[in-house]
Amino acid sequence: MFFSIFISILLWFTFILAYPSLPLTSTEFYWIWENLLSRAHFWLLALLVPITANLTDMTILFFQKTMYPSAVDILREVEWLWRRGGRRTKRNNGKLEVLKSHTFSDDTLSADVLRAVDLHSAHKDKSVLTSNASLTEMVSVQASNTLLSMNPLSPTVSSSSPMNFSNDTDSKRNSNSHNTMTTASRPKMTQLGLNLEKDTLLIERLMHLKSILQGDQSALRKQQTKRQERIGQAENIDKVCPVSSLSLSSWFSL
Amino acid sequence: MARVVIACRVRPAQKAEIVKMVREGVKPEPVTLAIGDGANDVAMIQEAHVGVGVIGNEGMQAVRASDYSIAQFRFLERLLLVHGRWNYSRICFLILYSFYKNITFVFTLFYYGFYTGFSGTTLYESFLGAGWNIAFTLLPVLFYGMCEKDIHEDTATSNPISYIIGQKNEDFSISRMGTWILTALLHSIIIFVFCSQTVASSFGLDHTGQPASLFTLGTIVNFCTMLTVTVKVCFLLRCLSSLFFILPFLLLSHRSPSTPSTGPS
Repeated sequence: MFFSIFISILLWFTFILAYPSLPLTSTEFYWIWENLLSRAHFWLLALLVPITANLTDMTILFFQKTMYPSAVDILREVEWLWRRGGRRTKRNNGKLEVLKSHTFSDDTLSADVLRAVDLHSAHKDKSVLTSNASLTEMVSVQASNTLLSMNPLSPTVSSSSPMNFSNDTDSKRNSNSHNTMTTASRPKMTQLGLNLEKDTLLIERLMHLKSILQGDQSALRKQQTKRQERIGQAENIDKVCPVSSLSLSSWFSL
Repeated sequence: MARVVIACRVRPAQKAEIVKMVREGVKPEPVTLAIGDGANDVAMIQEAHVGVGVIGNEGMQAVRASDYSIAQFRFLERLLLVHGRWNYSRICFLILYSFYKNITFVFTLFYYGFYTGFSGTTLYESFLGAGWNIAFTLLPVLFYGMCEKDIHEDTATSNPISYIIGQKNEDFSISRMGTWILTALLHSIIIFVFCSQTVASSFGLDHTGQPASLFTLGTIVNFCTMLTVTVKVCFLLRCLSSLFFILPFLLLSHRSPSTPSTGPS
């Protein structure tokens, strides 16, 4: 991309240097680069104008993507978080492992969001969870699902190579809908050491996505703009979602 | 309305009629896709918007009639969710960006008309205008259209919600078009005001004693427009892969690939 911009600029300068030097060109354009390139104004404008022009609409775009992100924006954001979390392992040849557990497909979405809301309310409610350490533990328990579904040695999941694609997705769906988790995988999860802030951001985004899917935009915007109303939104989603077995108590029983 | 209809032992014409019924009966009109591997699917494949042929034991008839051909049926998921949506977002960007850059270019000319009483004097030298689309702003959007991947393929396949954008045609809606046009107007105003005010206020005689001419302003405006428009692609690019650096050299060393051997084995 930078290469292509460089080539574009090079082309322009080649033209502006070569073409006015031809004797065929009009007198106004003749030898114009001598007048042009010798002035500081030209270079200053070339620096200033692209920055100013792009800064205006990039600012608008920034606020739009922060306040009212689309589903793809959220996916890209989560993907970026996972990439920053160092999810590239040698096992899968450095290929990016993204969102194997946090799929946003129709069947798994409600379970995911419920889980997210549980975690979220636990984060707010200090009586349930007093110390940050136990919350981190819980988040890592949540992350264990990811680890489990990504583990090629796990009996339910086949290896995630792009070649056996259809088998892979089938097993992924199964592992997601049942959310199987064994106690044997727990030591691994704590080693995973996911950042808590990343997960809370993920949770907020998941809730956001849920309300996009349900077309509940008005309640969503309130929640996005005002930080205090987020607990209320969590309760709202709790009402909307059917009661599932993945409640907060189930996390502790595991 | 039924979500699934299963029909068996139907004639090829009846298969095509089923597709036609969906095309004409369902409102709003959906984009239909027909996939088949034999000669009896040809009518259906041609009737649908997108026809996909599977190379199978039944010959190449369906493949010849189709828009896309795949080797096995299970590749349909990848064709739709990965390549389909990448292609869709790329093409939408390419079209809208082409509108954007030409609107920006033309509107700077339009603003100059206020100074000349709309006499038709052009701000740019004619070859600067001619080379605008074919040389100066061609490459960045070309590379974008070839290499852009907005989300990773694993994310796209495991999150089918990302495909809804294409079904609702959100990347090429009226509002998206309007946003791009407004951006073009904003950029052209910024470019023209900055350049013309600078030239009008502080461009004296240069060291040879010449004043700033018409084409001095025009060339500066052209250069600033080109930079703005190309830098914008760079900002909107969502995937920076090594292909962006390798691809020019790959293109130079390109040879036509040998035709793959197809058919029943």
